[in-house]
Amino acid sequence: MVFSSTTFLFVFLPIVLLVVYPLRRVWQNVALLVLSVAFYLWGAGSDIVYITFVSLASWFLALFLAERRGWSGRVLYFVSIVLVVSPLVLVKYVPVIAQVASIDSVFAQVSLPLGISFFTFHGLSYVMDVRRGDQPRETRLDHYLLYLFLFPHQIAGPIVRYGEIREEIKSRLRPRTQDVVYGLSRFGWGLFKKVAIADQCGAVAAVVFDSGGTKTAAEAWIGAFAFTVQIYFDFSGYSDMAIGLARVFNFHFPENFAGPYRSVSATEFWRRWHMTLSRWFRDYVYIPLGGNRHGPFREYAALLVTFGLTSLWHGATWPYLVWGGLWSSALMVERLTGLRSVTGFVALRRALMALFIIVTWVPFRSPTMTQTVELWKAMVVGQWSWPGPALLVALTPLTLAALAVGVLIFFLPDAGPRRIFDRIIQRGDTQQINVRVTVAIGTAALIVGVIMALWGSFSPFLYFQF
Amino acid sequence: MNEPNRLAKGGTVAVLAFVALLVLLWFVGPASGTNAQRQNRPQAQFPSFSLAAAADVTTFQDATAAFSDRLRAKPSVVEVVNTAVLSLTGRSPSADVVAAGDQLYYAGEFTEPCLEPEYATWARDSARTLVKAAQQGGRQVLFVVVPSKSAAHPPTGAAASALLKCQRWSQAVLRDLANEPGSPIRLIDPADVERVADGEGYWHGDTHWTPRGGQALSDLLAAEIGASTKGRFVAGDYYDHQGDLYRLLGIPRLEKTLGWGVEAAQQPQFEEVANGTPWPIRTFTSPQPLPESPSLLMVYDSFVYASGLEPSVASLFPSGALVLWDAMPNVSPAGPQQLVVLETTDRLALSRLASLNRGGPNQPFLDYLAKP
Repeated sequence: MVFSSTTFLFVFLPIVLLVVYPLRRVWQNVALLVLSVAFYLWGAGSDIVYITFVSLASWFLALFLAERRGWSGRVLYFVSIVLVVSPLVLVKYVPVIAQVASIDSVFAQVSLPLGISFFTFHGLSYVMDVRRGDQPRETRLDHYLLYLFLFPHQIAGPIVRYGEIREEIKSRLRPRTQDVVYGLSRFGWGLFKKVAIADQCGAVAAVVFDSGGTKTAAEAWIGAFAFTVQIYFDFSGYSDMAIGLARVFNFHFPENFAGPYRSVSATEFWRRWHMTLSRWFRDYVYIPLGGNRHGPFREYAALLVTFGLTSLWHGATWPYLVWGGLWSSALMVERLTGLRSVTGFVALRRALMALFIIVTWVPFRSPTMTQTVELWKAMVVGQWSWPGPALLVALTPLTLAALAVGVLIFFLPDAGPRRIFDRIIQRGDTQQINVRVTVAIGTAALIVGVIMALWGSFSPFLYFQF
Repeated sequence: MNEPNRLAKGGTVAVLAFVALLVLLWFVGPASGTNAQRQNRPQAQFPSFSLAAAADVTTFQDATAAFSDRLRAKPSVVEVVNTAVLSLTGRSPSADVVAAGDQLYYAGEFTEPCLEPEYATWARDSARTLVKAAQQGGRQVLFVVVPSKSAAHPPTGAAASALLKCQRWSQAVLRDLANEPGSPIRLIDPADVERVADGEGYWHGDTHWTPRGGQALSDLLAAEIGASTKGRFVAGDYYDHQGDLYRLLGIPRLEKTLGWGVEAAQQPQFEEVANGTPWPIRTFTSPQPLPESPSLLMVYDSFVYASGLEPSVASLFPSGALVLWDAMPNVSPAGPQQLVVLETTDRLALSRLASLNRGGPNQPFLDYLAKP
């Protein structure tokens, strides 16, 4: 069940709000856990065994991790990591390896459980935090289960560490009016981004990426740009909805995006894009590998390993590896040449970065490297003519408006890592929000979002399709 | 600071207002026509629930569809949004419908004809296979291509040429195939459609031809057997027609349409014969067929049934059977008919012709054709 679906918006969400709010504090966590399990079950059915396994394995093994040191502790830690990561490896990577090696795999036919990369990373971060002493072990299974199952972050993040919401689970304080207004408005804002912009651009991108044949230069650029806009508004919109919903129940999730398309360098882009994933890899992979503390060669090696794993996290295919390879190359070039320290030429660097971002999303969206190469070729040496009929009919007033918004985000003036939504609703540079402005913006965004969600789910059955 | 155990008044109001907005949409809807009716299909039913069903994700998908169909506000929202976008911009908000000039078109007319360019080669082989099989069976076979609305009234404007690129390619291929000696392919001229219908050959809000425009098919078939339909068809009453393009846009707009067909005395009698598909074969006998006309098997698509042309076409022949394209693999219950007509819209002509290759999904049809 995604947040923009009619079932979530018009059935699940009203039920959650009406059930959880009137309950006494002690029952709120129970209700949230039960409803979160129902949420997962609705979208994944029997695949719920995977998240249950990861939850129970990580919680149970972490109970002993903090106390055991020496070799037994190391063995237990290793076993914990292996067990938590095993479902992800078995259903996401083993089939790919088996296919490459031409071996039959029982997991080849298993569909990828919903949100497996996210809940695995939640479980791993908890195990590693407990092992490192950054986080006390959690003795209450119900509290830990709520952390892992909590529906706002369950399917697509943000990747939240247990320590970030532990106290909020335990104290279960009522949210302030300001939090409720902010949360609901942020949810509306995210819904608008997802259904009014991302889904519209997605329809255009699908025409280019999901069809064969030679593309013209215009088609390739429009497709690549449409996907660039789609992936940002889709993912950041989803994160907005997750963060907003969490806030309504007085959970403070970390931010996931901060104007990444306004970046002037690859280094800056990865500080602004999918920030909770970057943080996860930084803290659990890059820094433990030495980070930048042991000279440039160790740093570059750590960077390559980190980006290799980031690529694999997204998917075990060549296009993802190429995508990750391009970004790690860009980061290394910036380090080697000192480009990341340059402060001038902002407009030029932003333009070049925008170009790089658009070009690198091509392998991310392409199902094969052959298609990636075809599209890159079309972008560079393709014929400049009108797009074909399939793309022309996809360019409706709604998709064109969404693409136009996409163009705008590249030209917005940079104001540091502050988000547009927060810039609109906050009083000056303070953390205080202007409630009236927030309500106005949130209501307008919510209404447009709901309208577009309803509009997008209309699919007439046509007899002439026979 | 967080308040200990009570949601502040403002927060309560915000939550209740939010929930009210979402819940309200279950109850506010159009005066007539349910969500499912507007989408031209039966209402999705809630799945039966059991422990085993709870582990099956399709249970929840079915439940989602059932919920979605009962959301009363949806058709109204779609209608308002699409009407507004269409009237404000003059362009269609849906990728399924193209608005150009004062016309609406089904987008598939522009995109589908060249989805698989290799169909051109296969279609050429199929045309020869069809003729050969029909000769073996001692029958005549015709592959009749109906012009789509955009062939009769091409869109204009800066992008028109690019929009029509794919369609023009397929039309050129079809013309070449039709011009081959002994070709079974017959192309209905869009000008003929408008001529027989006095300029009302196509609906505005529908991709198909009107019943009057559809007379062009009967005229072509009559001419093939050396006869004429002159005086057979008469005007009926006007009726309200919901066009499929408006339906795609979720706009319940009706068009007054002149009924057109044969008189009651010439109406054929139809019977349905099961053939193992969801689409039964319709056999018929006609009281006043054209002189010396053969028995007919016609495989047809929406250009016949959306305009209600079955009685008009069937009335020209003494007996026969009508089969939808989807029921093609098994036409043997239709009986051994002498004239076999395959009617198709031009957007699907090449792919349908290509599907008649030997060893393909329609091999049983070729076997039927070759059997005396």
